[in-house]
Amino acid sequence: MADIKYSISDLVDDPSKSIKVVILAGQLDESNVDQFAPKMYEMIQAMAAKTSVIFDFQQLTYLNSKSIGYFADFYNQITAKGGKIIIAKAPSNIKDILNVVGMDQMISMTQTMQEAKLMA
Amino acid sequence: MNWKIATCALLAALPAFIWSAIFLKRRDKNFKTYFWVFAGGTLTVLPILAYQYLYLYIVGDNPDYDFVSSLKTVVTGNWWIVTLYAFVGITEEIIKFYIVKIVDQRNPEIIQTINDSLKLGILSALGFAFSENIIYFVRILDSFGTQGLIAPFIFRSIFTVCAHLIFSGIFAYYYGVSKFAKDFIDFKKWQGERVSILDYDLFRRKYVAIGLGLSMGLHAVFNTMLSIKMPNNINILLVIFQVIFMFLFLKSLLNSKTGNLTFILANKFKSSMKAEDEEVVLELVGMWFKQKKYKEVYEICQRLERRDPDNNVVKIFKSKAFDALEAERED
Repeated sequence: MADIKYSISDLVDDPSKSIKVVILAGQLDESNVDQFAPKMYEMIQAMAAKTSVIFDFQQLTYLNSKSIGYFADFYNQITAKGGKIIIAKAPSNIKDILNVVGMDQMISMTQTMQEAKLMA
Repeated sequence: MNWKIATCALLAALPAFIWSAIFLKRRDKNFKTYFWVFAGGTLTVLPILAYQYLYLYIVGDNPDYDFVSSLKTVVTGNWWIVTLYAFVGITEEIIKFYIVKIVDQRNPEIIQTINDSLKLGILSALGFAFSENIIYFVRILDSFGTQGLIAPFIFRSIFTVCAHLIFSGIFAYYYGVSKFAKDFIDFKKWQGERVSILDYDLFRRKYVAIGLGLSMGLHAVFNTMLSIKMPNNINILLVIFQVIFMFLFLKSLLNSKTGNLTFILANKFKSSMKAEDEEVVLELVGMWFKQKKYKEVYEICQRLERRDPDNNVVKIFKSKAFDALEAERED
C-alpha cells in the first residue's frame, strides 16, 4: 500500500475569507485513494458555505486516474457551496497530467501558496 | 469481340460505375489500387465458372462420378435449390474476401482506416458483380432476346449489384477492425477490462469470423430468397427489403467516426508526455468513457492527440466518444 499523508488546517491569515488548506505528501493511488476521498467529502460537507480549499501538492509524487476523478468531484461539490478550489505547488508531472485532462480549466493552479491565498 | 458480349459488358459496366461513384471519392489516395482490386474482383467469377464446367465435364464424360445425383437423393426438392444457391453465395464471399486479404498482405499500408478496408471489399464485389452480370446478360440475351433483358438488367443493376457490394463491404469492415486488433484490445484494457496476450489473436480471428459469417449468411439468405417461389412474389419484396436494410447498415458504418479514423501503422512521432503520465490520463479516459462522460473524453483525447499524435488508442477513444455524442444528439 502506497503511503499518503495529509493534513487539514484552517487558514487564519485573512479573517475575511474562509479557507481550508489540505497538504498532501506521498502517492495517491488505487491502494489509498478510497480511504482518502471520504475524509475530503466529510470536510466539504462540514465546512461553511463559500469556503475555499487549497490543495498543497508540493510533496505529492503521484496521482492516479481515480484520484483525478475524485478531484473533479471535489470541485463540483466545493463550487456548489460557493467556494473555490485551488491547487498549489503541483510538481511538473502532475501539472502536465492535469493540463492534458483539462483540470486546469476548472481548477486554478498556482506556483506558490501566496498566490493561492490571494485567489481563494 | 462478339457484339453480344461487348454490349453486355457495357451494360454491366454501368451499375459498376454508378455504384463505385456512390461509395468512392474520385481523389482517393488509393484510387489506382482500387482499380486493380476491381480488376481482381472480375476474375473471382472464374472459380465459380470453373467448378460449373469441371462438374459438367467430369459428369458429362463419366456419369458414374455424378455425386450431385447422389446428393440430391439426400437433399431433396426445394432444399436442394436452397443448398445449391447458399453454397454458391458462400463460395463467392470467400473468394472476394481473399482478394481483400491478399491485397492487404502485400500492401499493408493501403488499409489505414477501417473504411479503406471497406472500400477494398466494395471494389472486389463490384468486379465480381461486373463479370457475373456479363455472364447473366449474355445468357438472358441468348434465351429471351433484348426484350427479356430489360427487367433483369434493372433488377440486377440495382439490387443484385448493391447486395454484392454490401455483403463484401460488411466482411471488409470487420476485416478492417481485425487488422487493428491491438488498438481495439488496448481500448478495452484502458476501460479496466482484463486482457491477456491471447486476446489480441482471438480478437483478430473473432472479427474476421464475424465479418465472413455475416456476409456469407446474408448472401445465402439473399440467394435462397431469389431461388424459391412464394405467393405473389413476396420473396422478391423480402429481397428488396433485405437490400435496403443492409444498405442503410453499411452507410451507417461508413459514416461513423470510428469507421473513418486513420490508424497509424508506424510510430513516427514520439509522445511529448512521459509514458507513466500518459498511462494515468488513458486510465482516466477509460474510466470516464465507461461512465459515459463522452464530452470530457473527447476533449481530453483532443489534447492528448496533440501530445501523442500517433496513439491509435487515443484515436479510438476520441472517435467512439464522438459517435456516442452524435447518437445522444440524435436522440
